[in-house]
Amino acid sequence: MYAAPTPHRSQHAPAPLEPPVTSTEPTPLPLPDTAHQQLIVQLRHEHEDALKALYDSLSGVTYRVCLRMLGTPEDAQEVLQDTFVRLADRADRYDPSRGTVRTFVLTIVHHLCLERLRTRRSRPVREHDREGEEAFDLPSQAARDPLDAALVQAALTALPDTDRALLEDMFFGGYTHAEITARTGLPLGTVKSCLRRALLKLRERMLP
Amino acid sequence: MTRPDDHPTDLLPDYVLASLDPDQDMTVDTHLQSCADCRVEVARLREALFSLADDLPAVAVPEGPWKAIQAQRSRSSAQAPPSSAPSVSVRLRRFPVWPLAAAIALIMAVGGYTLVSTRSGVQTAQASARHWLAQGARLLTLTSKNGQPYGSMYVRPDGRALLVLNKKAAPGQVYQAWGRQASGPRAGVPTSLGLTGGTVMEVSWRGYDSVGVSIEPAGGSLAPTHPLGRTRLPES
Repeated sequence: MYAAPTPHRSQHAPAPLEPPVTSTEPTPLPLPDTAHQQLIVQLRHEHEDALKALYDSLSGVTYRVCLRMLGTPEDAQEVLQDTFVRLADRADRYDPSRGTVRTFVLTIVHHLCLERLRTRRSRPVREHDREGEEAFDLPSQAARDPLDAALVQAALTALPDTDRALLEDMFFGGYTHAEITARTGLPLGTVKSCLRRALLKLRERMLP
Repeated sequence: MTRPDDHPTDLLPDYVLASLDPDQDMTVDTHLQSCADCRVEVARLREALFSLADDLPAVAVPEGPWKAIQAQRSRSSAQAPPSSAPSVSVRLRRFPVWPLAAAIALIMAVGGYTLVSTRSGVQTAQASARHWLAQGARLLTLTSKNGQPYGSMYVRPDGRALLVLNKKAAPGQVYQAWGRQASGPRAGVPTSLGLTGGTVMEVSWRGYDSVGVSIEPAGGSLAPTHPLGRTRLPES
């Protein structure tokens, strides 16, 4: 059965890689987005120091996304590198009306990670690669007794963490709605509703 | 005027989640082109979606990637063909004689003599000015809204322009150049072309109908805050 995962870790997440490191390095203070925007302007005009300042400010969250999506430090470091090289090349595409610099950078890294995930998934899957993954796949809804299926669906959609877990599957796992449907057995409409609820809940955190 | 009912507010979360069918998606796309309020809401929803990253556990960033980025950037710049249009900052660092050259070019253009320099500096500057003029640069005067000149612009047919300001920006401030299109989806939206703490900058004007200059805090701004004026480019 599709058990609801812990709130901040979907069940499709890669196995834990390494324990979170408590760095002895001082954590750089987060810069306000106006500072990021000013650095983008400088980067457009090839001020290399601006790229370093953006890296210092945003590499932490970028690396975390890479690790979460790709699962190995090697891949994560490569994509972290590619992200900031691409940022330097495409700084002129940043449009403040479409979001913060931080989201611009996260959009780049998310896109690069998705590319890798899709490349991986298009390769033939070896048997041992599937170990641990079978537990995440459910038999399709149609294969189950209709009453059981209805009960499962009702239970799942009532779980508060399910919405969030599905959103994380989509965002970090790179799964399409149809793939989530196939993996969870939930109808497509239910998946879309859960994703929407989860997004609106996150939206409540934003101001205004 | 747009009525509130016309806003596809209910569709925006699904738009961000790519849950809409193609027709609905196109409807929202079309609406967003003309609705700033909905664009802001879409931006907020995107921010919300990406805030998932905020809840990931802290992990120390290894040192390797930054060194690799530096190495990759160095390789790229070494392999890149010599650009006919290096950035202002690079040009100023490599050729510190440029401000003088441009100033001399301006003096030649207006027929005045207020600057005394070394012989070699003058010769270099004159050569540069001649070089620009020989390449068909056209001189335009940069004027404020009330008609006061604040600099000059040499416009070359190859899409490059040299802007020469009459005086240096105040300490802590820079001049920033902006290009604007007169029509199209980005009509009137200023795009940064370059900035300088000195009096000269070389910019690319291709694709714009006018070039303006503003005074900005050091580091520049994303949009002009203290515009000096805008000059229409000759039609090519």
